[in-house]
Amino acid sequence: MVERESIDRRSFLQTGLKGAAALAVTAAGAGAAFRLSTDDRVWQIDPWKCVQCGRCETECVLTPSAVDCVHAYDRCGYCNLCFGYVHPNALEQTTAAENQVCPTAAIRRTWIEGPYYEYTIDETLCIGCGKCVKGCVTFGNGSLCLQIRHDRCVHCNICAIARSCPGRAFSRVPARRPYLLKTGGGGGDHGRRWRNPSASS
Amino acid sequence: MTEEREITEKNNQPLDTRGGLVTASAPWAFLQERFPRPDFESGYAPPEAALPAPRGLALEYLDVVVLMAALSLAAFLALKRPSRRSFFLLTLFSLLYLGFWREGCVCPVGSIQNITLVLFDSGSVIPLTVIAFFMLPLLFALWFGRVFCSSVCPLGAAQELVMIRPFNLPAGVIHFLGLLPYVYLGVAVLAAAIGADFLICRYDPFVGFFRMGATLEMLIFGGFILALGTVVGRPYCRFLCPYGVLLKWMSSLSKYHLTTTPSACVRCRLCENSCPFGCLLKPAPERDSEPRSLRIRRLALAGVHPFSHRGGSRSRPPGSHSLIEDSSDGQSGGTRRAGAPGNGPRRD
Ligand code: SF4
Ligand code: SF4
Ligand code: SF4
Repeated sequence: MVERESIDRRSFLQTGLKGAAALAVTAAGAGAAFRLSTDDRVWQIDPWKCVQCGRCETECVLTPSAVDCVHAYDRCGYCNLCFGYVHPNALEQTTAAENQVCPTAAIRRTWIEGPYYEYTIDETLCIGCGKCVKGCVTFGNGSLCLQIRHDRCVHCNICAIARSCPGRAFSRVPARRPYLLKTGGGGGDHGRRWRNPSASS
Repeated sequence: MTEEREITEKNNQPLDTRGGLVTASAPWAFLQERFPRPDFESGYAPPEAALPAPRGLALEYLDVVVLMAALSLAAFLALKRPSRRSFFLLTLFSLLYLGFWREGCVCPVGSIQNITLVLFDSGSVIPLTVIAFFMLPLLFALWFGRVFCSSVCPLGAAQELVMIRPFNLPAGVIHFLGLLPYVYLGVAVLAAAIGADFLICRYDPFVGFFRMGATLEMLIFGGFILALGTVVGRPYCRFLCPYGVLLKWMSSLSKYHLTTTPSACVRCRLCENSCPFGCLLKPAPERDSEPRSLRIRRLALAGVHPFSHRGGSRSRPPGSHSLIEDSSDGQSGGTRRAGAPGNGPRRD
């Protein structure tokens, strides 16, 4: 025959409180399930909100950063004089290294026809500093944008850049549409021209 | 995100005619018209930017399956085939897979914050995998105790493997430091709820080692915890880990618990100093216990006014004259789990 297990007041209270807490934790987990998404979420930069502060280069947990410049060719004007490529204060308008905006010479310039040139980013060289993006956004069409490259990003639970981004440009996007280019590209609506969401405020 | 953007876009359109205002607030609002795309005559077609896809969803679910399998194996080992060797191997696997291979993200410890954020921020959603990572170790703790800590958690594994010569800390120190996880949990939940930061991830001491890169401060902190871990068993788990608090609550209700059998103990006292976490209580003299009916009345009174009888509050349960092991609870020992005098192994 087994006697009923005796229990004293302290342990009764402890078990009761812990039981209540355990219940609350389970309820929290169940409550979160109401906002379930079957798709995974990944971090991405909204290029309309980015102000090219340069922290994307330095704040990422990876070195070099998982952020790279991505060229949305749909928007590009194929300018001869591209201020994403050549420094506006350059002593002479040549493609010499000291006149280039990019510190790592990651942008390749290819003649297409007439006065038009194609600019291509070499992702292996790009460090995500955003200097070319700043030039392109300030003087050009804004076809260069910073994007998180999902082959390199380790998908931190909290993106270290998001934490310090002054433009609050980072958000979690569905993994099925993991890029936010201004027009075209893998994640965006092809051929659409997005306007700046912040212009409404 | 995208839906949101489409709405804003529609709202925006009338604004575009008010040039001055728009250019003032967003100078690049018109810039897509600045240099129209040329009509190429040479048949040039613009290339597509190569945009690599993120890790597939199937692999994320594989992580959940691996977690589930590791937890099941740990529970089986703990209750049926306890052996240091198998635990060591499982620990090593968890460290390699969840730690170095998956680079410590997302882990159940950090998922507290994702759950909090989604509960407080109406705009956010949460993937199924994150809920699974949060709930699975807790559910296992509800049945089998903290098997997650034993050999599945990559943070615990890192400390377990550096534990060379653990010394027992005084009970008072353990008790005091054991309060820190509650504070940490509270602050971390608060920070996640207001959307300020994910502190647990930010101050995760080991994730920098898993990723082979972190800020200098975090590397120093991680190195310090590991160095401390050689002489103090699992310092992060016991004195910081906020998820451990949740696991403790869960495992206090667990059904199949690791216990000692007071009636079978021959009081050889060999085990007294063997637990590196101070979880084995030394034998204490049995207290005179009150009649059961009186205790029940006290319990009822305690429910009304818990502090009315402080004198009795420090009493140990009768039966704790023998050694009691409680794998669930590093701080308060296993007093809850004691059996009545002479009633042998725990019944439930
Ligand atoms: S941190 Fe934000 S604002 Fe700065 S470059 Fe990166 S996305 Fe742009
Ligand atoms: S300027 Fe900076 S962001 Fe642009 S391509 Fe060069 S390294 Fe990349
Ligand atoms: S999630 Fe992590 S790896 Fe990816 S961009 Fe942000 S900080 Fe870098």
